Amino acid sequence: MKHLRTFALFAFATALSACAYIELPTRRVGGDAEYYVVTAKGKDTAASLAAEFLGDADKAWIIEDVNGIETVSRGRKIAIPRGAFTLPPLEGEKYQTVPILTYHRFTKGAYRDDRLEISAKDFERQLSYLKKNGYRIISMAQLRDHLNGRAPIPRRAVVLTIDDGFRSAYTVAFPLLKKYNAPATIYVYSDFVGAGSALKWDHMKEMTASGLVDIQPHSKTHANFALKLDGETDKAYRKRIREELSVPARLFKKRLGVNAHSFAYPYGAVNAEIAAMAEKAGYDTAVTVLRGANASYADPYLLKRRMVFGDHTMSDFQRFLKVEAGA
Amino acid sequence: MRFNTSTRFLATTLGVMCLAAPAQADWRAEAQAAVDDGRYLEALHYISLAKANTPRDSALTAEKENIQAKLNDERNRLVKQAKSANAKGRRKQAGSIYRAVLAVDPNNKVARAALRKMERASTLTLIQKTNTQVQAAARQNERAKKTSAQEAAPKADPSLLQDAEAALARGDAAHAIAALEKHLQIEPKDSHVVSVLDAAYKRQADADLKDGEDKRALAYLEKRFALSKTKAAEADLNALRFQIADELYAEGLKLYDNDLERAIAIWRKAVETDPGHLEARRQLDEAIAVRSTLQSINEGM
Repeated sequence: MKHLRTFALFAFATALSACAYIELPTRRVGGDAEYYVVTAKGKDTAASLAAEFLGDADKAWIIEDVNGIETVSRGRKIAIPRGAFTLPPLEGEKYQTVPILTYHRFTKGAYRDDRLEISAKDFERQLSYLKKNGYRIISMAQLRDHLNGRAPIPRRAVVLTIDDGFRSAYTVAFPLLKKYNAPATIYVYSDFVGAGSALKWDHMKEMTASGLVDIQPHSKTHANFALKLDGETDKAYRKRIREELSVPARLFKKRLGVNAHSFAYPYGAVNAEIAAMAEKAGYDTAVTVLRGANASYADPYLLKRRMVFGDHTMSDFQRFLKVEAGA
Repeated sequence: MRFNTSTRFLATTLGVMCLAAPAQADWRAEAQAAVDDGRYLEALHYISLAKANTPRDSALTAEKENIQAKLNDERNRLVKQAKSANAKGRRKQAGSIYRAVLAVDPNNKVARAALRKMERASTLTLIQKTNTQVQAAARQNERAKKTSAQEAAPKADPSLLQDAEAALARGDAAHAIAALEKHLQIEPKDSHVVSVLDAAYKRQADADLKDGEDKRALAYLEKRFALSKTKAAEADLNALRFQIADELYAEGLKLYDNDLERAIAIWRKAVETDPGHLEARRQLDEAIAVRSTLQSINEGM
């Protein structure tokens, strides 16, 4: 009898243990109209839960940020939004900012005393740093939706842009973007396409098809928009700027099938009139070369960026990743 | 009270299980702590998670409504304060309060619009300053490049193209030509550079013509045609050749009666400039014939 009682107690303890730790074949899902609530199983990660409930493993950040966690631990209750959601605010008086990093040219070799060119090794080190430190690389389209108040973005969101359309964006940067699953916007001035050191249409088609690269206009000729030509009338100047804005958009639509939604002002040269013309031309966002990160209330046609040069160190790079501001 | 071995084993097993269990997020407690601290948006977030966890708990629904009401009050109070500061011209203070509004209501349209307006004004001012600095730096850079180009062999540098296009955009065709010719030495088949250099030669030739520097203009148009071999370049070159030859032809006519030798020299130049200028050729032939006749007469005398 005594042994029987001991066995019964042991069996009860084992049953309790099973309830807590043995994974059941089917998941019990609770929640209400706003959130699913699930208890994480042993193999669950934010990515696997995002794939299961949100249909996209890349949305793992939603699970991490909504629950305020860095990793999913077994047995923990996890809330997963069913639709639109908001994130808890940052601590204190801080607010989120989004850095937009800008590159120009890449080289497979070492840095060659040319600031605009960055070595493949350094670029990979930077992408790896972003991944290992919880930064999420988002697209310009995602940033646009955030600025319009339409969709939250990850807490540590960063945007990658590459200016001009040099061929090394395809030969050097693109393989690394694929390796790190990092989206990037390449701003190309259309007259440059096909030139000696420039991208070709086939390169741009391939990168667009990957879904990682978004080709967007950087004007037709890369002229400085803030400068009028000698003897140019106001009317002729405006006509020229309108063409600089519209010609590459039409061309990219025709040759690549992409919709132009973001514009990079050549040399970052812009004023109130040019910004208004970019808006009228149908762009949703436009980027300058003014240093800084962008708050949710940043002007979509005057977005700030941070140039990453070949002679920048990793500590410089880390300094550029300013994802919050305020007290 | 005494416990046998089995009971002690069971207690130990349960104890270890409790210790090993992951820390559970207590969303309700987090919400309460945030309310106590006046962090209503955070409180609302956690109470929503708590409510999702126990959807049948009606107390949580009431609590959520209560927090939402507090959040609305806080937001309205801050918006009023920010508007007041703005009306008094205290822009910096208004901006700070509007940011506080976004901390309780991230999509608040009034705060977003006000902050965006402020941000736009300050960004445009900064860009204006930066543009001026960038242009000054570009000019300095070009001067430095021109000097160093004389000392060192040219390097393949695609930024030459950018510099050239910037120079061309501000009407400095001579600088653009220098940069583009250097670029072409490295990449002679760069079609884009060829087209930009074609435009730069044309612009420089037009400027020279305007300044009365016809010969320089002709030299640029000749370079242009040699570079691009386009019909437009050929037409411009032929038109200028004809124009110069025509001017020489007219000058020769003026000299013909009084200075036959100079007239012949000038018409010869006209024909060399434009072999197709038939009038000049006819006048040259006639003048040479006249000179020959005059020489015969003089010899006969």
